Amino acid sequence: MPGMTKKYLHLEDGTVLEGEAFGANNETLGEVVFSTGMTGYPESLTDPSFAGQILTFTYPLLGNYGVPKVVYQDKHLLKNFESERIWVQGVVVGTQIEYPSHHASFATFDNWLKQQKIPGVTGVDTRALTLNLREKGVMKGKLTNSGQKISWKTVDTPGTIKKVSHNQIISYLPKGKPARTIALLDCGVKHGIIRALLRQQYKVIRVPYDFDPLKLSERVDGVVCSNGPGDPKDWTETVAIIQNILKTDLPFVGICLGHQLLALAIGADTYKLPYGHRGLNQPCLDISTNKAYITSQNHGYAVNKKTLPQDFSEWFVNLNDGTNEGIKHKKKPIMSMQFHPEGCPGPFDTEWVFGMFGEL
Amino acid sequence: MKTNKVLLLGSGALKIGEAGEFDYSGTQAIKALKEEKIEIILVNPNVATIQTSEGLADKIYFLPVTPFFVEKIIKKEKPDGILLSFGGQTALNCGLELFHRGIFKKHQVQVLGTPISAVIDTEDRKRFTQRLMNIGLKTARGKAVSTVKKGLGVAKNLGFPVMVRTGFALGGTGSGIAQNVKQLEQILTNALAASPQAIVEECLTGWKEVEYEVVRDKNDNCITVCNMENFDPVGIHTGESIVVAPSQTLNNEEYFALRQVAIDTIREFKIVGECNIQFALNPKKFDYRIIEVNARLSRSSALASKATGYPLAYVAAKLALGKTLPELKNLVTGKTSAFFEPALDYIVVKLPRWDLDKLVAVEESIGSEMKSVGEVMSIARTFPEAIQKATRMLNDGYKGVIDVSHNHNSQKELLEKLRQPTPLRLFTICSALYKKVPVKTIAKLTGIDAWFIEQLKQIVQLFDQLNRKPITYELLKTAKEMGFSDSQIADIYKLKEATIRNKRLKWGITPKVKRIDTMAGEFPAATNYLYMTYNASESDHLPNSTIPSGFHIIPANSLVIPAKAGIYLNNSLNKSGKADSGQARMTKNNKNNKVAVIGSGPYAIGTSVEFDWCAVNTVTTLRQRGITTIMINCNPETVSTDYDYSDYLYFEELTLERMLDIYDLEQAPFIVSVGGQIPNNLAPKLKQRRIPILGTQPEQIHLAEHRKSFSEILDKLSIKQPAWAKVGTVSQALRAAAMIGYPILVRPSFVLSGKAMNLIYSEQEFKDYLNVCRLDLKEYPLVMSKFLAAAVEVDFDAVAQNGQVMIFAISEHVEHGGVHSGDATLMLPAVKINAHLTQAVSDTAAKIIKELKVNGPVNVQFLIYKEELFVIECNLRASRSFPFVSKITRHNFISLATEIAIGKQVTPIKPSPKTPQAVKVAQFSFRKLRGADPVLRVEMSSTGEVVGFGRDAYEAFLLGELSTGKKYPTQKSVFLSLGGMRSKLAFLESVRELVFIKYKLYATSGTALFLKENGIETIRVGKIYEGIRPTAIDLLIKKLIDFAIVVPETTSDTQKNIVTKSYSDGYQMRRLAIDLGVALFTNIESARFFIRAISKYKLEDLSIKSWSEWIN
Repeated sequence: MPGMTKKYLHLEDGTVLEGEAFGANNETLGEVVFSTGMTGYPESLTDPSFAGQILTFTYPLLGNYGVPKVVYQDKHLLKNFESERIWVQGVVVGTQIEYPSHHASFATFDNWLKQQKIPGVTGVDTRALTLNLREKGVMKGKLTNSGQKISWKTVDTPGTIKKVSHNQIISYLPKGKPARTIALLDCGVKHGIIRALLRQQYKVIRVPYDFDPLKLSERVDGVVCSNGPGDPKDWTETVAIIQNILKTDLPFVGICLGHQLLALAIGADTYKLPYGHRGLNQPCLDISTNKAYITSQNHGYAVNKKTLPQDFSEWFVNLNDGTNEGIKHKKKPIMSMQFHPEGCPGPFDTEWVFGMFGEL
Repeated sequence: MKTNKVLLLGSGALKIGEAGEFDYSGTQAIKALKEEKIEIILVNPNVATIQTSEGLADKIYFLPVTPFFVEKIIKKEKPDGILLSFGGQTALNCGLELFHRGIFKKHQVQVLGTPISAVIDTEDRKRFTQRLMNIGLKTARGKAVSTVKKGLGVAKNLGFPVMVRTGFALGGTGSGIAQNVKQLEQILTNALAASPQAIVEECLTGWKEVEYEVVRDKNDNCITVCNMENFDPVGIHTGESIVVAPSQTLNNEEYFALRQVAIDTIREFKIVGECNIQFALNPKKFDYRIIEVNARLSRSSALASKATGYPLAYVAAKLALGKTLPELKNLVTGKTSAFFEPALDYIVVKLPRWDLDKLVAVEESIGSEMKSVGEVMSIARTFPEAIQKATRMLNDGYKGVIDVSHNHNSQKELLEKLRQPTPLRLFTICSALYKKVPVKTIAKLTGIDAWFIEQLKQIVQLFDQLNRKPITYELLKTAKEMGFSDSQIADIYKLKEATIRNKRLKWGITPKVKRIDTMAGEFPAATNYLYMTYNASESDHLPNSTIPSGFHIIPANSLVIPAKAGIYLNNSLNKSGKADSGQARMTKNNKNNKVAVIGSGPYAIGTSVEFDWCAVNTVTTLRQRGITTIMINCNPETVSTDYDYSDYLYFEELTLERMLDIYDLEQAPFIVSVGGQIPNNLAPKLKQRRIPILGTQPEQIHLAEHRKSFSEILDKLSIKQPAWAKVGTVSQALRAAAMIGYPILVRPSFVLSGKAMNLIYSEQEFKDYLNVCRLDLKEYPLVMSKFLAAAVEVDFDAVAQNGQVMIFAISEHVEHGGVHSGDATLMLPAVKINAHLTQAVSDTAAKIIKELKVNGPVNVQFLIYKEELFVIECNLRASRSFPFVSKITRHNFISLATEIAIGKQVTPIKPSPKTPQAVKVAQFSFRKLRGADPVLRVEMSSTGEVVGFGRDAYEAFLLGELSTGKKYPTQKSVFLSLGGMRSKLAFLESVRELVFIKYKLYATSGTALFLKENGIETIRVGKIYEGIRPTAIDLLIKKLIDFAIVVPETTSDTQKNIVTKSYSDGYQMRRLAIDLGVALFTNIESARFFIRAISKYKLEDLSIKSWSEWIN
């Protein structure tokens, strides 16, 4: 629209995309990634796995149903967001919708970003941007208020990302009598995972990423390692803790980053995907049952299935590109999955994995 | 068990509610089966479809899709499997009936895909509700009641407000929303007076309507391919609703909760293949109801396939054969899995296309019944752009959502209109926004989500700005991003379209081409399914690598020639004396060996699947000749918009502006002669801008279409034509009419609602007509011509090269002239006209074709009046009957025309003396069109067609009639009401025939008296208000008769209705027969033909022969 403030997205490859500014007016830096989900922007933006990234949505309209009012389900547990704040560095969209319509809408997308001090740019050909990222791989990008070219030599990468983990031990109780107690290694956990575990009637003890749950005074029936941002190889403390847990007979489930950390803990390798999997439509096949599921995903790294030790087998495989989507110990109750069984945003096809603690 | 031979049921003729989408799904199923090397037997009498073309199914039966005939085919062909879900409700109902009769079991035919038990349970309201309730899913609560008291009881349980619906009611009475006991009593009393039962259910008015397309394989793997949100709320049939994909106003929770319910539902019913689930969604808090489950491919699934690129029907067919989703590949990327859910990076808007204007007395409101005859789908990257494009695709004269003619309404009038949904609703909303009616008010009155209204408001606000400010780069760019067309902007600034275009190109504002890849860019597509948008900075597809994309490139072709209004063509043609030949163009201007074919646009009355058949055959022929093909069309119900059929598919608006855009990019010449009126009308405009057109040139088209020039040509060639005149004043009109002599056929050059073409029998009638229609004759002159009564009409279809006829077919109409050729029954070969006349027809046509130097398809219409030949019309394009004549003569007329278009020299083909007897019968959809008078007129009203083959025309006609839904008489009982002495006399012989075959005859007073005088006894029945019992109504309601023949005195009877707005007894009887589903004849000739046919053939006698058996 004429008369609006310009905002620019600079990419490492020299591309400069011009659009109109919305949200906060600061400048920002991050790894530019794209998500193909058509709904769930409040969930995505508050997903800690996006920390350090500038997120573009391939769906061209954003903010259609506004942003809901924060509802707490419990202390430290939100009902309708994935964490207490927006984690993305910035947002790139085709068209930002100024007049949302929804019974649960409390703020516009624009106002929410302003309030959370996150800059956004609208009016961008996000498909062209996506195809560029697909062809060249994800790259660094900067959202600026000026179109002047920037020198990438002086640009630092985003800082440490482990701040996404809560630094306290928090317990959550399900409605009714807890069936089991689960320790949750928080590497930036999405609240959806906690909610899903609570729905299974589990008591959840959320511990920081560098806290060994074996040290908890309370006996736990199993450990879940959460999702989180960045390169799994940076999470050495957590990998060491997982190695400790594996020495016991405690059931262990890794989700997303937790899956990659389990792989590293058992001596397998991880690698960076050219442009990751971010979307709500990723098809995964359970190799053991030959059943397929649509999954929600947000990851830039993957487990190299060729490096799996003998006592582990591939559990899920991505039907689109054949990458590994889950692993399972051949005898022990140790398993992990690359996708998000809790959805949030996305489908619930694989929510059954949360029930597996009951069977382990 | 391995399946080797499969019977596939089609949906028959196109009708309201079952249109081209089933040609698409059937064609995809055939493709999927062929890949598995399965022998396919197709039953579908619809001759205009692509699925009934040569080279697809192994055998085709052009027979009725009814249990009787399908059983006979099963006996004969012994298939081991049958597919019921690709032919709409027609195929499904037929399959259910066969199942209940135990036919499948008896002949060991396996129903493939969804088990029949699932079909039964989804079709039976009670079982459906019960099963869903068992698994904790919600359906609309309610009950059928037969007394007011019971209804009140139901309402008490549900709580007010409640919705009352009736299965059947005259004129739509009996439905409504009751807020309290008093209102409910009132509504129920009315409802139960008209119908034995009424349904009282919870009121979901104002809830959102959302649909999901769900797929399941035999291993229980499930996906939802697409969700769609209706712009209109619950209460408006989804076929009548504007639909967007994906949903726009659902949050993640709602989206995935409904998705889960959809998957739980498909799992509960164990559907294998595809199903469509419709939801009502509470806009105020999360709550939903399942409204309907269609356990088959549907109109929505076709739309979803086009909207996402996911080939639902193809996949469903594979799943029916026992494949699983993870085994199948995504056909768009060619690499990734078919087990996935498409991610869209664009917005799709579907608009229905109505044609209510063409009908007499039809109700104009829209509601829970479908009346639209077609649809368009638009793709863009914002809602305003998508919806504005869609309005232009309708080909209804709209340039966008703002229709200035509505802006004259006052706020008060608009508010009133908003309450009552009509086909014009979208335009009314925009006018209301223009008049500053608040979004909230509109949302409240219409039940449409405020999101959509806000989006429309942006367009209106920009329209306002454009009206106030001079055009600047920024403003023009924004206008284009908002979906304004050049011509719409030109209107605002009172400039020419070309001026805006030139300005735009100078400023570098051009649309970009984007690809649909099903995965929002995550994986590259191997196909070229394209759309254009201004909300983009880069194109995915750049055909001419030598021309860089983007700014400051001004393609020469579209710049230089300003648009000139009016009749420029005469001059240019007279100067040069001859037109350019297509061949020259092909070699000169087509270095890149590409050809673009313009499709037919939305289906409407008069433009239907036959033109899609033509378009598909054109691209297929071109591809066979090694030419790169570009298909341009915007109709989601078509095969031509399947990305498999052409090298490049532009799913785009068929406007001059877009054709120029595509030409600038692709530099490919156009074929304009195979898509009906839209491309035909674009031809001169393209030519004016020096864009090459293959085949017959626009100058020649103009000569044939322009009344005066064509008339002069006929005079020059000494060919007779009915006397005609073009008049500009009322006195001129009356004088000319007197000179020509009544009856006359009048045709205003500006078409008004229901007043297009008319037959006028007397001066008084003409005066009334002129008085009521208030035509602006000065601005839009009236053309009138002598109507030759009781003349035999003949269609001459041909393909010519350089003015020489290469192939032709002559079809004779059963009905006399005065019935639109699209509604008429066509016999091929001609039956009643003698060899001498046949020769005269082809000789005369050849003369015209030579004179016009036709280079492609052509259709000439003749009347034979008192043994003399009159030419009434000539179209230099493929006609509606091209698939019919091609399939009967087994020479593909379109293939030949395409070869000619690309400059191949072809040799003449002589008509075969062994051509089998076939009859093409029109399908009407009057039952869906409440109030419409079901008479055949000069204006077309049919929606589809079928063919019947036979040992003679009677058998062929009878099979055709049965294929359009008429039943073979079982009670041997007929009702006659013959208006006027002419029809009484003309029908006497047929009545004697009925007596001879021992039919019981009922007749109204006049008819009974006449027949008595002629020695025929009938049972006299009362007209509606005569008070004699039984009345015609009793006969119809009690279904005491097999069919009714209710002929108006003259066809002008119905026109009187337009004038006086009063409805005759005849009208009421005809309408009641339609509403009650009693077979009805309103035309003497076709009724006589039918009686002759049933007296000659018993049902058991009819031939069960495949197409190839008839041909060889």
